[in-house]
Amino acid sequence: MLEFQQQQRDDVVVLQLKGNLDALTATDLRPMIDELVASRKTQVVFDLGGLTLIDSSGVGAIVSLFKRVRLLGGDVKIACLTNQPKEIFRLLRLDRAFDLFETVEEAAQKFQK
Amino acid sequence: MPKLITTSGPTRGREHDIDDVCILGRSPSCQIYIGDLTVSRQHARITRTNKGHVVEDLGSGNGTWVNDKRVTRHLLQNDDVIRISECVYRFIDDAKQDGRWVNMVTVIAGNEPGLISTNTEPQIKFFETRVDLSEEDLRSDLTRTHRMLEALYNAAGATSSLLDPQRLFNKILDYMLNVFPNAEVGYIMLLDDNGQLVSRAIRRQQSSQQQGGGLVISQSVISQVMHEGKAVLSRSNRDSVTGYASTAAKMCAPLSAQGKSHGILHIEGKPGGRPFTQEDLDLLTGIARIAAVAIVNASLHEQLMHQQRLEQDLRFARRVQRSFLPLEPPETPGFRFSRRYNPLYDVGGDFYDFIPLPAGKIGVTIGDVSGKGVSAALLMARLTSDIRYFAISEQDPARVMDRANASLIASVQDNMFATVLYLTLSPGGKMNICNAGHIPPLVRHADGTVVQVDEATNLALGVLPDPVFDHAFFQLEVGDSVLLCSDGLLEAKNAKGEEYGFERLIRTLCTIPPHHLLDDLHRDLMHFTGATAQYDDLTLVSFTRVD
Repeated sequence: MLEFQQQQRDDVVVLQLKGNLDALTATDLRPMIDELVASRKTQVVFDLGGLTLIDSSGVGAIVSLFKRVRLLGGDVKIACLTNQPKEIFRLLRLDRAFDLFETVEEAAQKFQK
Repeated sequence: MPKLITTSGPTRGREHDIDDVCILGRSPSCQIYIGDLTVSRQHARITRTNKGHVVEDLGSGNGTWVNDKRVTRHLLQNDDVIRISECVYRFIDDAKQDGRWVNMVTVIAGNEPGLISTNTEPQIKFFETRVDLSEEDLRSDLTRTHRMLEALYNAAGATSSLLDPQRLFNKILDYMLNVFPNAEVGYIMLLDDNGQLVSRAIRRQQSSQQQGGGLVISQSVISQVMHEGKAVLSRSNRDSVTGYASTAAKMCAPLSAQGKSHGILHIEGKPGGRPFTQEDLDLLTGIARIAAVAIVNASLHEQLMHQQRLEQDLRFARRVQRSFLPLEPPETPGFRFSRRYNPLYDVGGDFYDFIPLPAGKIGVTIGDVSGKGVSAALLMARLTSDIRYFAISEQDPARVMDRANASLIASVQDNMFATVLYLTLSPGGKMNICNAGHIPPLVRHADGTVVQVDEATNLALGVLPDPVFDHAFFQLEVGDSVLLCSDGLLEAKNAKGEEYGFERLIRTLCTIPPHHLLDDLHRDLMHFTGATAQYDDLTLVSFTRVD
């Protein structure tokens, strides 16, 4: 099960994910990712505070948005990682690609500067 | 155009256009067929004269009655009531009614007098007949009408054996054009995966001179047909001055099977040709039902074929993938290698490799490509050969990863990435490691202590175009063993849902002797998981420095 919510804060889009982001649910995210890229919303914060599980397809979905947004000159920041997703991000050393933040506000502020 | 509306009798509610000549009777060749034994084969005739339409009795047994008087010949007035045996018709002369021709749509409706509205054609007036066309009624209509029965029988024969959807669509449309010689063009439109109605087949009469031309069906008609399951007949629009048809007559019927609308069957008449009648619409509705069943069958068959093709692709991909993995661990002086590869799916994303390098060195790779199935297998195949190539041309493992990353970034789908651990082993026991997001190597010393080599851990491949890759050296002593694994090991679950995990792995490594490290480790894993189904591939590679 994956729930997601999209929120606009000034120029920043906050994507809040809750539940499991895996091979089954990652495809649900795909249309939203395509739409963000199509509408050139390139400043994205993932709020992963409610994410309980992520697998390689889930990371793939986030990486996909990341790569496409960067081609448009934007960036993806990650907020509120905990538990298993935090472990996965650590193992894949995704901190070398993404800026990680404790709160959504910090991540969003980083864009404003 | 004047018409007869059936107000009583078995075909109550039917409308019939009255052309120049129209014969009513029991013979199937009659324009208005009355399936009643008390009706003569050719019972009565309505003819256009310069004074108006005239009805004549053709020497019938039971007579032709107009406004309750038996007639032999009678000049019809608007609203006259004609009775032939049990059938009662009302004669409507639109031209006299409101002075101009109007476009009409007849709907085979349910109980509600459905008023059709349209945004695009506001001037069009709609009439409706109230025929409750339940399954039962349709069936009884069919048995009454030989022509329909025969046509439907043939339609079923023509469509039932075809499983190729496109050929089936064409066959259905060709059949329709044959049954309705006054039709110019037929369309089959079906709902696609997104619920959009898309045109899947168009066929024209062979004699047709028309080329191209888009299909225009008003939203209201589509809504009637798709959502309410009604067949819709649009009569031709006549020019009020010339009297010639300015638009073609159209019929549209739902392709519904198993209680679901799958699309529409749409027929357009020849411009200026004989208009379609209510009976035509009934026939179209019947054929559409048969066609819909055939279309559903064909699409199920197509899905099955698609599924089989996918499975075939997977089997092929597995063979390709296996061919990229080394069959036997290499014979290398100073080291003893072993490996275990248990792909769970037909094709998984795990891979490993041993690459002989100059100066007696050997390269060792273990990795995992995100995702499953054919795309993961192909990416893995590509990555394996890339790394082999770069390993031979670059000494530094970090450079190898750098180039593999660049190649991956340039080539793959944006949602795919890979974790790869690449290391080189020198004859003296020196290990040079570069880890791109993979589980770090574990070293088991001869005395049973276990250490994790988590230096030189870098971002996974395929995420950033130009990350920095670090590498690190590690000196192996004689008797030291190294374990490389995929996450299928750490994430293996037991019946309670607990993971095998890092701690148990280290505990196990401490206690088992290095000679049969992988076998013992695997036995412990099996002991832990029991019969619980696993969800990931398992790949293990180990090597021991023997001198």
